[in-house]
Amino acid sequence: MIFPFLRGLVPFALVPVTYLLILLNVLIYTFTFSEFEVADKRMDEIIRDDSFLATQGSAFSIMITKEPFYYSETLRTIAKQVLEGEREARRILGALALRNSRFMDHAENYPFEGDEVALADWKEKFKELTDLQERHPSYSFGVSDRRQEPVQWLTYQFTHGGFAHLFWNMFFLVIFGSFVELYLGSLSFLAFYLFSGVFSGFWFSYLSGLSSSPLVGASGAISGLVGLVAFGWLGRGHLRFIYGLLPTRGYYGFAFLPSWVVLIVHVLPDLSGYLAAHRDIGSVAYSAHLGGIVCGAMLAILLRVVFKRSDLFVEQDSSPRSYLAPIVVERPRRNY
Amino acid sequence: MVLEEIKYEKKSQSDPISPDGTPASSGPFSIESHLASPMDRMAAFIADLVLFAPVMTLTVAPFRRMAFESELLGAKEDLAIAWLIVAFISLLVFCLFQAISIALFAGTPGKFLLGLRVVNIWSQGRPTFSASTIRAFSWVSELLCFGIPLLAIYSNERRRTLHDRFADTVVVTVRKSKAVSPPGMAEASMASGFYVAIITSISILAMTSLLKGMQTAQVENSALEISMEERGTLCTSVGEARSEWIESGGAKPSRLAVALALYGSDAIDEECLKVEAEYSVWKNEEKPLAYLAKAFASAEDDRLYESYLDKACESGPSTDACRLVTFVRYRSDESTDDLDEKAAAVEVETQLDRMIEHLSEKSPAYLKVWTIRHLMDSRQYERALSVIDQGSPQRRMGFFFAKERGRALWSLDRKAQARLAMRASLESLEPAHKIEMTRWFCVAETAELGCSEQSRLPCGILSAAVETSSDLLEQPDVEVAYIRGEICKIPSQPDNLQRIVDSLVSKDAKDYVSALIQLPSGERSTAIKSLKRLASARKSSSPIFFEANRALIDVASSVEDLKSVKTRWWGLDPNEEGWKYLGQRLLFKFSNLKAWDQTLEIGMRMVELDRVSEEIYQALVIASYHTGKKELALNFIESLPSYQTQEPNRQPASMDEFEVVVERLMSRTKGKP
Repeated sequence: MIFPFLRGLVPFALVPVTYLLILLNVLIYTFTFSEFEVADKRMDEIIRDDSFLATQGSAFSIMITKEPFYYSETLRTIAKQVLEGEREARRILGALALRNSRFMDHAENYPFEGDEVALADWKEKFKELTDLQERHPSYSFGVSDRRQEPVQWLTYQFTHGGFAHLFWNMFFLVIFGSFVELYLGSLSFLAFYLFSGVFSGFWFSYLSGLSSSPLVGASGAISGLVGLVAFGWLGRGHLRFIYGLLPTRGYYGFAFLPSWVVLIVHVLPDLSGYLAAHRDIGSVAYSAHLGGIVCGAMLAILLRVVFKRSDLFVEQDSSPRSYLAPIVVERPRRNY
Repeated sequence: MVLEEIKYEKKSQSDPISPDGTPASSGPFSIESHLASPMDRMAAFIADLVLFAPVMTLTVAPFRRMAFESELLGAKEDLAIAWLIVAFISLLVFCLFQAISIALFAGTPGKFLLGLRVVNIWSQGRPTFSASTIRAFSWVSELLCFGIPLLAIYSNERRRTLHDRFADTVVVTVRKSKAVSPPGMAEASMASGFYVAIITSISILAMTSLLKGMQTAQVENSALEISMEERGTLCTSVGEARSEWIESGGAKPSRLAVALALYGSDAIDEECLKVEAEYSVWKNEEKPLAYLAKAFASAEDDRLYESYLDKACESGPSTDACRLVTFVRYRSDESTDDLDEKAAAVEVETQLDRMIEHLSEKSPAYLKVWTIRHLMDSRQYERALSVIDQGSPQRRMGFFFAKERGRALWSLDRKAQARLAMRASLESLEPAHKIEMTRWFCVAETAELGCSEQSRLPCGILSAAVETSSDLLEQPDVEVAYIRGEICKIPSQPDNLQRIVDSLVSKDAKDYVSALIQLPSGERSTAIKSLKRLASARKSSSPIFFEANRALIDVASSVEDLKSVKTRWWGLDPNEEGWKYLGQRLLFKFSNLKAWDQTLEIGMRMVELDRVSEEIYQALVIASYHTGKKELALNFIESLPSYQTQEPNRQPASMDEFEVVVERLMSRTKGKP
């Protein structure tokens, strides 16, 4: 494991906006937690019901067969398998249907033909599922093809899909956010953070297209910070990383490495994830991350090349310190 | 490339010697005092992996996408190829990365992080590109050999593994404080130990895999079929049956009609029927039948079951599917006292009569099969026989017709005909069906008539089959029939039961037979305790449960002893195979103990729910007489098909009890106006 540590935990007084953003994210998650849990649990129960998925798969295959031009080649192939009687294909198509906006919009009133008993059961559960989605915080605050109001491009950044999602995003925000705020200033940091979030959302909708599954999470905005660090500090000395190779003394600690290591550790995985992801499936919005990185890179280029403000990107103290030594952080001087 | 380890001359221990015998030029440091530690090298590898993994995943991203798509489409071959390509390209890219880094910088980023360098052992300079490439590829090869060759790091004098020796390189550290000395005896021994352990384990694994492979080669074909069924494509058995289906005029029946017939005759399982039903219903083909089939497949869910049965009748009550629905529903309500329901039952019977009248060779096979099932379940054996005797040309249903014929004849007390039917069918049956047929007859013969000449044939065939293939004893029904057959051999083979205890599979069966062995000896109380435990621990459809209760009936010496058995029998489902035989045994035991009330109680229940034999009627006549219910006794006499109410022409002393009772009853009724 090799991970950017940068300034680590910076005191609140020096980077208040970072901590306030974290607090806001945590508060929103906490207040929406119970609604989230209840809706999530029931939605999970419905989706994990084999007969629900199988019937939905059959229904989706009928829709695809009748209107093939709306769907990808992959979906058409799977639909054909379903009509040939493949049970596994039915379940797969049933799961994919949940991500297909056309199906989600039209299924409730579509004149499906087939097993009417199973369809009646399925319709009941499908209605319940869509009602739950209306109430689910992710669907209320996130961006999807059904909900794209202007405010949602901001609110989606503060909504998370679970505790792990929130935890890791906030972890990255502490590391990168405090670092960027330290050198750019609080207001600039806030403006960039929110802008980067909106930009990455648009980038995602352009590259991958919005679906019925909502886009949520702060990772687009945080990717903007990552991009800014990676490109802003490129050729500007070394940054502090924390590494852990073996669980024995001497094989973990801090190291000072060039900023392009950030590109390798953070940017390349997102790029490969985006290239490897299939349009009809996928859970991580890699293209949103890439959008954030592009936004960060653009700002870095703007500041360094256009406004000739390379002085903003001050290299970290590169003298090696022991991992036991306290790190004293001072707010850098800014020449503006 | 020099594989042979470098030799030293004692004079100059610090400088290595070139292959041509001349001292090599000394580099900036002495190799022996700068050897990189194995831990450092491992840490450097991990660092390289962490730093380079993103690049590797980027290069294989399109193939990963291909793999996901193949997985979605269920294309297993394409999926395997995609992952192979991913693995190959990843390794290739990693090799190139190593080769280029070492050739250009004498180390990889991970090695730099740990202060390691890869140097030519002769010149201590950077290796050439060709040497680096050879080193990288041999390193990957060592990794693919489960990393075993890498253990040379603990045994080689300069900690050089094979890839170092191929490339004439050595890994050194620039941090003298982290340098290690050449491996000592302990390390070398440990490495040797690992070599031996790993090679031995791999050899054993390879041998066992080879043996397993040889054994499983035989079942390859059936595994392929199962795999196709698991993929959810249509049921192979139905397809095969349909292709050989014999029709007397007209087109071949649909897959669903064939599936229903096969399911009704137990030739396919519920899963197979479900797959066929799903296929038909979503194609909007034969919907009434498809709904009926779905009802059968969803029998465990009452709500779905009833919904599907309702749907099956939506097209109208005169369809075959709806008629079958009527029978299925009627069967579950037959013991009702409600007047409306009784009226409905009469209506159903009328419908059934009409349907049976119209049944012919041209009728769909599934209709016949389910009619037979209904008639057998409702104990209308004569009518069932009339349908069975129409026969079926379908090979796959031959066993069903033969078995039901035998059962119907047996239940009608036409045992001789039943035996003939069994013998006639045995030759043409498949081995599994033969086992089932002989099992049923072995149980029926021994249960109703005890050990007899007639039981010898079916029980003998079953025993012989078990001796050949002891796997059959894993089926509880076969196990019990086998035990019964062996019990019959006791007079000529007293130690038979002891012999078979070890061959039995289930613990309950072993305990049961051990209890039977203990009964005649001094351990009777232990045996009875064991039998009571087996008789009360009811697992679903456990044949040993019935056997244990039977044995308890046999050893009972008072009415009190039979109380618990009677309570258990009363709570059983009359459709279970053992219900009738247990009831008979209980009735005769009560009769022997002269417990007339209990005899009547058991007998009345049996008469109400099933067709009973002549012997039971006789017992009921005697019991009725002794309880003062003479009218009832006379009714039972009239129910006897074989009894002729003629004047007895034998002396009273030579008549059995039944005949004496009847004589007295007849003489009393004659006296009445």
